[in-house]
Formats: sequence, structure tokens, C-alpha cells
Amino acid sequence: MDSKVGPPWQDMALPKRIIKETERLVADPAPGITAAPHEDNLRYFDVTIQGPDGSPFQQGVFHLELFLPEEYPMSPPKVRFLTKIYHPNIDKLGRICLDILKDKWSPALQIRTVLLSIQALLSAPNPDDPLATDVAKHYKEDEKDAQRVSREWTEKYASN
Amino acid sequence: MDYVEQPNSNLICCICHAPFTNPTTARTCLHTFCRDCITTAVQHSPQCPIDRSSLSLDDLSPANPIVKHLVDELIIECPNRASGCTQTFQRQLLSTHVKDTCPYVEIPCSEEQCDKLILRKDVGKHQDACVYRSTQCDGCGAIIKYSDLSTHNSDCPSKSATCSFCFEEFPRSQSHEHAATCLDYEIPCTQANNGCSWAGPRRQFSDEHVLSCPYEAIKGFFSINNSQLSLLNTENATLRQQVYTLESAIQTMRRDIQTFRNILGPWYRSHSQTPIDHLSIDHLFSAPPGPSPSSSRTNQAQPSSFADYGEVTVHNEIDALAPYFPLTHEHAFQESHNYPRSRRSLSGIVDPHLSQRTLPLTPVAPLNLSTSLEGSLGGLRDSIVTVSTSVDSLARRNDIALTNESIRLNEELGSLKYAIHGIRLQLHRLMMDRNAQVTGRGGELPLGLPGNQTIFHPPISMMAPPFPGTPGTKL
Repeated sequence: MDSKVGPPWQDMALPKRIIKETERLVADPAPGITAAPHEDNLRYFDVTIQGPDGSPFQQGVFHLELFLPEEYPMSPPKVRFLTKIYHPNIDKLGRICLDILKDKWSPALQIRTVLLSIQALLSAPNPDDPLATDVAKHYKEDEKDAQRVSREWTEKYASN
Repeated sequence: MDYVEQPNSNLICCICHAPFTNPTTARTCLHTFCRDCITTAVQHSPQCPIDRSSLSLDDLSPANPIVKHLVDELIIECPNRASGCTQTFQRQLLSTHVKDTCPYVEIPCSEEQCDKLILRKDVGKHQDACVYRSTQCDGCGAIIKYSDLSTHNSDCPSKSATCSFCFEEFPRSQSHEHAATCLDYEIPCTQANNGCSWAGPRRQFSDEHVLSCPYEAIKGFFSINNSQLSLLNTENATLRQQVYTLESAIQTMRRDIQTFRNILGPWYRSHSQTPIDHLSIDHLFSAPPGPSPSSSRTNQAQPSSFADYGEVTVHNEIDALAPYFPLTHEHAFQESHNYPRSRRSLSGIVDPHLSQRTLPLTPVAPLNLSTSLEGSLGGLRDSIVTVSTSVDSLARRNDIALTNESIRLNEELGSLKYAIHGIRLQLHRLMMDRNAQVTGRGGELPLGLPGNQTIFHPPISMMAPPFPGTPGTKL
């Protein structure tokens, strides 16, 4: 019963679900999160996430890119930090170690939930499942000093 | 598909984020999805998208009917809303609406030849304007396609037509009658087919042109000429037919000759001399020139048949050909009978009636390749007869000679026997004489003499009949 009536978006191949998600992201954004699709590629989003209060990333605004692959929602979106961040689960290249972006992906998840999960990851670093091993080691050995570095980086790279 | 109201979120599939289509429930976890969505998801990853419990295609079954009814009865807008259809209806009626009632669906024109697609609401308008619609001619009343109307108008017999010469108007059905009578109608000269190029109004033709037309003046000549011409044409056709017949006859003969040539093989002789004839037919036959009466008949027959060539009929044609057919047969007949005879006289052979003395000098006739096959075979057959006769007489002569010889030998043997007998008698007498001399001398002889006497005594079998003068033998 999928109708072939063209959406207001230009890309005819775009599934209706992506259109709906985008509409909702723009009209009713999650707190501290913005996501806007590129005009020339509606599967590519510019994302910003505010550092959660009470975390070393507070006051920071982190830029991310998000891409919906062809198989979405059967495959997870690809998300990467563009802003440098000192976090045990995010490496130098901005790659994120988060289970729902890999094997724990489910088609019932969506862009909004993925971004909320990343925001939560900033609040709760998990040095036991590290991606950046040196940062993780730092967090394990001297969490306070590591948080200080995180704050420094946030101030240096993530403040507008 | 756009819903008039925001559907209850419990009816939304978490995968496509739209109300369920063919709602399907997992038996294990009781979560419900669209059938297509959950099938694809399970193929990607065999777990429930909501609680990640393991799930396979076999665990899927149609959802409770109440769920299906709830989503089927959701009110949706017509998908052709953008074109102008403002109707709304239950989702389950969508296909019926689009198929049967939606005025903004394009459907093909009912006229077969028209390939246009028209919105359903415009169909009535189109049927009045379609170039393929049926319409009625206002002149003759015939039903025709609108697109053919202009062509029909220029042909319709009921519509009026105007003569282009006298400008008189009349129904088109009478145009032929008018053309035959109109005085201004442009007609060609009646002698046009003889070469007159004049053309002009009918009234001028009889008044002026006939008087001046040079062809009209000699139309008598034309009619005679035409009849002669047609006669010649007919004749020409007949002749053509005859030539064709002759050619096919020649073809047949050529094939026959080739067959004969193959049969004859090396005995085939092509004569360099052919009868002096102007018909190539003779060369094709390559008939050997013979002193036969038939060939002389050929030469005589031809001039007469060609003299009458202008009026050749089928009958004459057969006559002209006739000499050729028997010719080949006659030649074949003559060859087979002439050649053996001539060869026999030339080589002077083998005849059972010839004298014995000539026999060893007459070899069997050599194969003469220059004669016909039959001739050679006949000659060979004759030679064999001759040879067998000769062998026969030779045997008889040998028998007689042998008998004569043995009689003579018998006689000689008899005379020799007598001669030997005479000699023996003489020898006997000589012995007797000598014996008498020895006994006359007395006992000078040794005692063994009586034994000697028995030795010299001739055997009884050799005793000749008693001769006179041999009484002393008993002594």
C-alpha cells in the first residue's frame, strides 16, 4: 500500500520513513540536539550535540556527521564526530564505539534515538570498552585528571 | 498515502513509521509489524527489532484481525489529491476508488484507433472531440470516422460537384454523364492513338479540328494498317510458339545424343563432315553422312519447306522436322549391319569355306574402334564362329591322319615278321650244314657233343613249317 505519490522532498528514492524522521527532527528536535539534512543529499545530516550538564563536556557544542546508508533502517546509520573530543569511547578520527551503531542495531531505532544515545555516552564514558586506549587508560588511572583534559579540549575545540 | 487524522501510535509500524500494512505478529514476543517490514528485517538480522529476542520467518503469523480492521478503516486522502481529487475514504477502498470512480485517473479513449489517455472526468468532452469518433455524412447518410469526413466529402456521390469547364453544378453521381455531354469538356482528338496531339473543347473538335486534322484524313489507311498489324502480331505469336516448340525438341535431341554418346563410349565418332545444311540442327545431330536415301531426301525436303516459310503451320513444321527423326534410326541400323561386312572383306579372314592352307595365316580380326559398338560386337561374334569351325575341321583332319598312319605301321610290322622268319630258316639250314660236317669227321669231338646238340636244337616254337631239303635235321 506504499503509494507512489511524490513527497515534498526532491529525492523520489527516499523512503517515507526517512522523510517522516527528518520532518520530526526539524519540527520537534530533541533537547540539546539538532540535525539538518544536506540539500543535495537528504541522507546526509549535519548534527550538533550539546555536552550534557554535569559532564566534562558541558558547555561544548560538538559537530557530527550522520549518513543513512541505502539499507537503512535495516542497517544502522554511520555517525562520526567532526569536533575533536577527549573521550575513551571516541577516537582521534571521531569514530564512536557504541553498540547500537554496530551489532545492537535494530530497525526500530531511529536517528533521534541514536543521537540521544551518543549524548548519553558523553555523560557516561565507559573506559572498560575503549576505542581510544590511551584516553581510556588515563580515565582508569586518574579519572579527575582525565576529566580535566576533557574539559580543556571541550573549551579549546567545542566552544563556539 | 496520506491519512486524514494522525493514526493512533499503537497502529504504527516501528520499522516504516506508518500504519500497519498486512499487520503481522511475532508468535514469540507478540510484537506487530507490517509483513514486508518484518520479513526484510528478519532476513537482515534474526531478532525482534523491538526487544532483540531471536526471531525467524517461521515465527511470523498474521496479526489479530482486529488490528487489520483498525488499519483498514483509517480514513485516507485520494492519492490523486495533487491532481484535484479531494475525496477521502477508508483505506481498504483505495483500489476500488482508483479503478472505478476517481475522476483524476487517466483512462484510454474508448475508440480503438485513438491511443490518447484522458482523465476520467474529461472522457465525455473527449468523445465529442475525438478525431476517431463516428459521425454521419449529411449528404449520403453513411456512418464514417470523423477523421475520414473531409476525404468522404470530396467523394460523396450525394454532394454536388462543379464542372471545371462549363462551371455547371450537378450531383457528383452524374459527373460521368456530364463529362460525356459537356460541350466545353476538354477531349483529345479521336486520332490521338495514331499520333495527333490536339486536345480541346468538345465543341471545337467537330467544328474545326476534324477538318484540319491530318490524321483524320488518312484514317482509312490507319484502319487497314491496324488490321494488318494485328494479323502480323498474331502470326508473330504463332511463330514464336513454333520456335519455342522447336527449341524444346532440340533440347530433347541434344539430351538423347548425349545419352547415346555415353553409351557408345570410345566407339562414338563425331564426323567432321556434315551434310551441307544451313540448319544448325544437323550439327547437333552430328549424323554420319551416309549414302542413304533418307539424307538425300532431307536435302530435297528443306528448300520446299523453307520456301513456304511465310505460311508455316503446325502441320508444315512436322513435315520439316520429319526427315530428322527417321534419319538417326536409319543410320544406326546401317552402321550395325554395314560395318561388320566391310571389315570382314578388308581384313580377309576366317571363313569356314576358305581352304585349309589359309587357316594359319588368318588371325582373328583386331578390335576396330573406328566402327560402331554393335558393328564391332557383330564382327567379334563372327570371328568366334569362324574360329570354332576351324578348330572343328582341324580335329577331323587329325583323326584321319592318325588312322592312316596306324594302318601303314601295321602293314610294315607284318612284312618285318616274314622277313625275320626267312632269316631264321636260313640260319637253321646253315647250322644243320655245320652239324653234318662235324659229325662226318668222327670222334674227334669231345664227349660232351650230345649235350651241344641239344643246345643248338631250336625250340619247337621257332620251328618253321617243314622246308623241303631239311630232312637231315633228325640226324
